[in-house]
Amino acid sequence: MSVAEKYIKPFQPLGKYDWPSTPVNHNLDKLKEVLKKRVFRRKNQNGMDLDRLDPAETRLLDDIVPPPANRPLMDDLNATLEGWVEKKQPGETIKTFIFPPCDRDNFLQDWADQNDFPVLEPAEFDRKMSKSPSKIGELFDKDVLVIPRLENWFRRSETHLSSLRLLLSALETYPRKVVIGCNSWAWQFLRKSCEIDSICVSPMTFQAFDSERLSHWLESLSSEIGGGEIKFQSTKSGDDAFDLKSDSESKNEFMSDLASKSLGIPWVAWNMWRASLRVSSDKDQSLTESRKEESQLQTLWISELKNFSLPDHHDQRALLVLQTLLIHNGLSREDIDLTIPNSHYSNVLPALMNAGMVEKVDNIYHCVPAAYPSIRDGLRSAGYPMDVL
Amino acid sequence: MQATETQEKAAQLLNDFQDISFLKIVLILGASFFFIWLIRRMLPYLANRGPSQLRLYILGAVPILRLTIIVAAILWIIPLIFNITVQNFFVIAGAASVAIGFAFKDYVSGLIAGFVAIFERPYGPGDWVEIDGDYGEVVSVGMRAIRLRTAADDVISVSHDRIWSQNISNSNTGAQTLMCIAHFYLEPNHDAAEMRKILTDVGLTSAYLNYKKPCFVVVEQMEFGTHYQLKAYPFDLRDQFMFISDMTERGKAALARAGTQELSMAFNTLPRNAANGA
Repeated sequence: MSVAEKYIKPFQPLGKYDWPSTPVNHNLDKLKEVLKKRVFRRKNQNGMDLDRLDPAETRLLDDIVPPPANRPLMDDLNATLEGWVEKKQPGETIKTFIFPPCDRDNFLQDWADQNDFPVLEPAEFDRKMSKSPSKIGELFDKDVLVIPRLENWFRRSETHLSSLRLLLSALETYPRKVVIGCNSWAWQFLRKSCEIDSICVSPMTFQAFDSERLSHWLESLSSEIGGGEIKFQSTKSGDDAFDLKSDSESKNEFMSDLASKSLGIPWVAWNMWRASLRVSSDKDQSLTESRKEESQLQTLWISELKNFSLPDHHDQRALLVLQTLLIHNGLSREDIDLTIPNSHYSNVLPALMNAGMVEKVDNIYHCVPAAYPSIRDGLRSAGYPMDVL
Repeated sequence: MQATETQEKAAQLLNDFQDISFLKIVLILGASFFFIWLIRRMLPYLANRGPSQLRLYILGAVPILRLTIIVAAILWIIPLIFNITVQNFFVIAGAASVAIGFAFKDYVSGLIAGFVAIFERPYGPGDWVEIDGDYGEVVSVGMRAIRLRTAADDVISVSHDRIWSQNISNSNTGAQTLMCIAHFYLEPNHDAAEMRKILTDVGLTSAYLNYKKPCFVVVEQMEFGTHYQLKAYPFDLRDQFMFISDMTERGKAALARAGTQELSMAFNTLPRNAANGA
């Protein structure tokens, strides 16, 4: 087995996700960290003062940590569907894959494009069904049909479920193979409102990314660009994050923290990793011009992972907005008003954007991927119905 | 000689004045009041800021811990003041019975009912109960009475001794959620199956819905029209009024879109003879 094959892990049944750290453990870890810092305070010679560092520019990040943020899942999915795609009449015609929210790259769409499979979008479905409502089986001639994001097929409103219900009833009689993707929050809502699990049986999800797998993936991303070796040094200890020769405990400290804080979700870890990278500041007078350039190219500093603070615990409106954004993987202002009660008289969206938890892209509000673990913790703490992986 | 001394000592109800350690008694009382005060402040604070799943458990611990502290303090103090023998016990009990029977009957009835309520648990902190027409959240369970906060934010004190004689309606009995009902009264000529479907979707798409509990519609034919009850559970019982308002608001809009006519008079506001079909 090659090194690359070692890190290919097929998808597994929903509910078997091995969460890297429970919130309780996470809080204990934080407490332990604070105590360790206070009791065993020591001067670190090899670390780096954050004042002498600047966040890395997007251009540099795109070279070192290029998108897409879900690349390793492609091999996992291919391994999972190996054999099923080629079979003429498989026992199970619908394969459903559940993903955590905040994947901006639309993983299943990319997979369908790579394999030249047709993708079904709601508008196209409505148009085709209005022409020949009883003949969905004749609409696509390819063996495999892909529906990448089921969350795009509905809004959480009593008037916006009809398209999805029509799709589900059409799928019952669809004669060919279908691959469906759905976000984990939408899946729980659809299980309740449309009993989707009676049609899309045996949903699957990917295996959580542990520190070793994350380390392998992130290291491979930076090694692809060539032009010299890049070192990723911790601002705390000065240790190289990927140096196999370094002390294994300190080497894994950052990656374990990343795996734990990202909940083992690749696109969350990818965003956190990018946000943590720093370069030497121009203000650093201790370096000569040529040394600065060399330093910026060769050494990237890894700062501590950012902690996000949810709005006040009792601000129900903020939590309602975050929940609906997770269910739909992003909504316009009008759709937010449609899906939550009394949102129109609150200024909760600007507050969430200022807190760095929500961002607006092309007039659509999304939860920030790096903030997803904090949002999830907040919703769980407030008793909201949770997703299952 | 020794027998006489023992007899005298047994007959003595109180310990010798110089033997009673008043400092110790004051310290025990002070510590007890302090711990009770601390528990009554700290636990509700923690309950309202911690995970909502633990809220009712933490609130429910307040009366039990308070009772434990009080009983421990009493058992500690009594031997310091009284000379406890079988004879003296009957003397004290007799005197206490007379005092209670004449002066503090209702008060003590409330105390005993409070003691029983801790174990029988007809209500607990955080529960939503209806007693004698007052519906509200139990904000505290005291020794003699409970305090209810109603939806209108009034705080009502209700003596524990109501449990002897009245029905206590508890909506959640320690659970994190409770059933909420939105009522709709429609004119009788419509497609009831379609209305049920519409109203069920209204419940299922509410932002407050608890996915683990059922959501359904009950239809009842009345003399003047059709009564629909949309029944569902919120994920947090503190959202019950928001949840009912949300279901009602969206339900009315959905029914209007479906072209159904709502009735303008509810059954219980009709004159009695009209309601009876006379």
